[in-house]
Amino acid sequence: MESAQLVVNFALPEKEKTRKKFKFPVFKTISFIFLLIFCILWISPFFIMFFGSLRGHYDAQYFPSELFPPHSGLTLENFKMLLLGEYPDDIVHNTTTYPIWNWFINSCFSAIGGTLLYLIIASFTAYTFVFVDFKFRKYIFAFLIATLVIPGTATSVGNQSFVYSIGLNNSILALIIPGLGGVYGMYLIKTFFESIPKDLVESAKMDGCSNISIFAKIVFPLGKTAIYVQGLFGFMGGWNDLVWPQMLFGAKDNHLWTLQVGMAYIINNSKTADLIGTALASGVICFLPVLVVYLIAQNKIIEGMATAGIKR
Amino acid sequence: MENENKEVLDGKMLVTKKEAKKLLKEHEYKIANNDIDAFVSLQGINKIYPNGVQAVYDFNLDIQKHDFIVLVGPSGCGKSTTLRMVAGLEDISSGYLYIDKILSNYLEPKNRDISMVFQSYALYPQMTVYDNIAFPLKVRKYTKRKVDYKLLNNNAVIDILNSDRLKDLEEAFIEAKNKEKNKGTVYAYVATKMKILEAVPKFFLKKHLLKAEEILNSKEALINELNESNKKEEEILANKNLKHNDKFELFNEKDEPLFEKVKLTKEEIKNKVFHAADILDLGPYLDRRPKELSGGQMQRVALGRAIVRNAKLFLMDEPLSNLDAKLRVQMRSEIVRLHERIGATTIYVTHDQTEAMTMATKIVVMSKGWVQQVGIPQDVYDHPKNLFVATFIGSPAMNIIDAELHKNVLRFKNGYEVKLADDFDEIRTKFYERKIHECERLLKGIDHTLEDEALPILNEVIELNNSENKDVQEMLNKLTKVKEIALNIHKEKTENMLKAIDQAINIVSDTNYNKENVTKALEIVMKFLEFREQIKASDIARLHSAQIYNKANDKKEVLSYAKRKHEFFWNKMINKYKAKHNPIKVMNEYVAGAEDYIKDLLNKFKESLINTHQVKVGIRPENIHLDSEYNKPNKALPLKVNVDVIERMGSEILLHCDWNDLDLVAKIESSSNVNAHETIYLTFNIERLHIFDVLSGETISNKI
Repeated sequence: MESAQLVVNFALPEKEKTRKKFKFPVFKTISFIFLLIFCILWISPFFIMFFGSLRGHYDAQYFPSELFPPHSGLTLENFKMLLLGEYPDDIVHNTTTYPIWNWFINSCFSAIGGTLLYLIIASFTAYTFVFVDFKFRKYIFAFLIATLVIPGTATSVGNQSFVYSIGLNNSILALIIPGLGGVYGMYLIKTFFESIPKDLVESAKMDGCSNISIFAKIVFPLGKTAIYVQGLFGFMGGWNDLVWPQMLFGAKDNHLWTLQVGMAYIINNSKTADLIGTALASGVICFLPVLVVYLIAQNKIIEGMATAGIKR
Repeated sequence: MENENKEVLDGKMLVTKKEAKKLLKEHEYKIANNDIDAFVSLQGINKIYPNGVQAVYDFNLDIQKHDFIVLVGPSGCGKSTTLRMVAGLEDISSGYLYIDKILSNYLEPKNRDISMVFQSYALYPQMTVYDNIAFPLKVRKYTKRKVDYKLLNNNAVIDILNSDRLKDLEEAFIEAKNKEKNKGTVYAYVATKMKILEAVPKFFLKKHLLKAEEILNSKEALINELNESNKKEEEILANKNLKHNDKFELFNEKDEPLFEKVKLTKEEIKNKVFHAADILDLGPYLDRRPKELSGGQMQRVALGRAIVRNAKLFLMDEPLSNLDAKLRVQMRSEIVRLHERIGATTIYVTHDQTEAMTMATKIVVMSKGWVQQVGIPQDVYDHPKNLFVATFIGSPAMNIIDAELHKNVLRFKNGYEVKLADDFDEIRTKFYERKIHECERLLKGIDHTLEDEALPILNEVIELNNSENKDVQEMLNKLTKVKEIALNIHKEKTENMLKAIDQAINIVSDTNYNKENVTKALEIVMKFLEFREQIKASDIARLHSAQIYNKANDKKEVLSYAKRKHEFFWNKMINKYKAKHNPIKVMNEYVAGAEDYIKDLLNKFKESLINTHQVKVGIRPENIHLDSEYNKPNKALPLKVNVDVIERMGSEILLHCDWNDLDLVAKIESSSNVNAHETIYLTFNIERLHIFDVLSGETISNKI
């Protein structure tokens, strides 16, 4: 008898479900529409940039509204102009050649080299602040944190004269040196290191580790996510930075420029309608490496952001 | 032969500063004191935190080899701090720590050869169990005989070539290939399988000779090649004036064996880890990660990591408190068994008195930073030194009842009387006489009337010295007067003071009278006379059981803390800085009004000696019986009590009775027939009573 009752009990809700009337999901639909609109708004600049760069200079001049598909088909003309300096015969008024490969290498050096160097310095500093006891630790840290409130633009003039005074006026090393003193990344890594149980470090000390081997064998493997996240931020910051390289080398030899400075110059230099494609192409060149890095590190970043609890 | 440490410096050696620095560096800052018998010796250890809080006061303990010491006390009593000081994770503020005769105050934790088990196990989450246990072995470098590896490896290959095991070698290579080992692990696999040096399969892999036939074909050529390389190596050794024996261990020209610091080889590590895993039954879990283990297994891994290194001292910081009750009991016996098997000296910290009682060979009871009692567990249980130990050790806790003591008759509030043993009055008298003597000695120590008498005379001498018409004879007379007074001062420092005065007299009576020298000598005497001793907190605490003293002073601390809160920010910073940089000064801080306090105490002790006075009486629940069931000598008169609550534990019954407005707990046999809210008669053995002095909280007994 009991089992029969049970069957009935389980069967009932199913029957109700089938009887239920279809209800139009109003809220879901509205939110979906909004999302769609915002997606389009967000994506459209990229869309314009991407397809604009693949459009011939003739199209840009005479059929500006025909973006996709372009009037006379897709072409790599703009990239050829930028990268190889091969200008079509009918462009005569502005045929500047740009040392884009130089800029690319400079940007890579600034972004990747600067980030790696900064990560080493910042993680060592964070380790020292968390796990090594020394005099005035609290005060030094408070002082460092206090420097966070000073905006970067305020210090940039001072930084520039400092970098010039140590004789780096014509060296791309100057791009990364002031950034190495940044506190934010160190603070981020430090907060993450603080969540590592101190017992682990003490235990490693008893087992016979020196500070460096504790860092390498215990703290780094456990705190890597924070270092990854900071690495990505550092890379993006270094890659996208315009003000600092412009200040340093804007008025100098264009072989010292980074991609961003160069891109600003190209945009300035291509105000006529038939050269607008080169400006868009330079945007694509700047954007692609960041996209690649993002696609590779996507999972790690999201995981890291979640665990480190960071918003930026 | 692995862990041959360098020779340790003898602390009694006399050398110059420069040499000392060099010697210390050479011997890794290890200085020995050969006068110390104990394996671990803690002498007057104090710990003061940078914020001025003192966690450990005057900790003295000698630990013999193979002892299992348990530090036990409520939370915050400084037991963990003491352990961490031994481990080197906290600085020692003052005092000396000797481990195996080596002064270890300033040694790095890794140089102390200690292994420690943490409460949270502290397993490295990113490593497997195997790597966790192997970690201490991988990190450390061991001193080993220096070996010429080239000769060793070459000869191993030659041995294999001449043996008939080539067929086996081929099979091992095929097997490794079948198991899809990658290139990096093939030689390791073959080496472990064949029990040969890793260099042998490496050699054949390099030559691409993996089949027995191929090897046999080129056997002679290989042997020639190896012999030639051996000859070259021998020549190199001869050029360096080195020799070797048939195990290829190197000697220098004076036939002294050579050593080098190297890490253990993989094989050695593996053997040790497997051995440790075997002891702890960890075999099946070796390739798991810590988060895949249960609490008990994690605990065993932590123990494994501690024992794998064969350290001379084990420290355990509440290792069982994260386990559930049943596992705790199981691990308790396992740790004891482990200790018996390995025999390493162990210091174990716990707040659980059952753990302390069951595991320890020696128990150290602590409270509020003070050691209360040290002894074997049964002794501590039977003869607690003071109220704190009596109530802390034993479960359920000892009943403490207020009573009046008149000579050897105890009178409770409700008129119930107990006559104690005849000689108790004598013991009591001796106890209070001892206390009075201590108080008087302390007061005498801080009596400065004699110094005050001598000071003006000395001042006159100084004036005479400064004046132009010197009367040397007068000065000498006055100095001898000072000396006469100084002879009567009872102090430890009198000896030095007298020496200083004698020196001053000598200088004054010298024929070549030199004003500056005299001034210097007089100033030294002045320093001694001006020195004012003060009663320290530790003095009073030594006089009392620590917890009683602290109870009286708790309020004061609160007051000063509240005051500190309102301090000006900058002052606060300065005070903090001072506290951090003069840690010893904080300890010397004396108790305000200590002199009055001690005088008051002295009077009370004197009164207690003569009159009837208050005491506290302690009796353990298991020493209270039902009157009808107890028939032994020294039985007290029956107590009529009302049973409030009955707790049936199965093996026994706990009775909570109302007597003298107190909750009297008795433990009786489970077969007894008692019901709640019944009136029953209880009794106890008079000899089992513990009598405590109210003023000091100490047990009134013969023992000092």
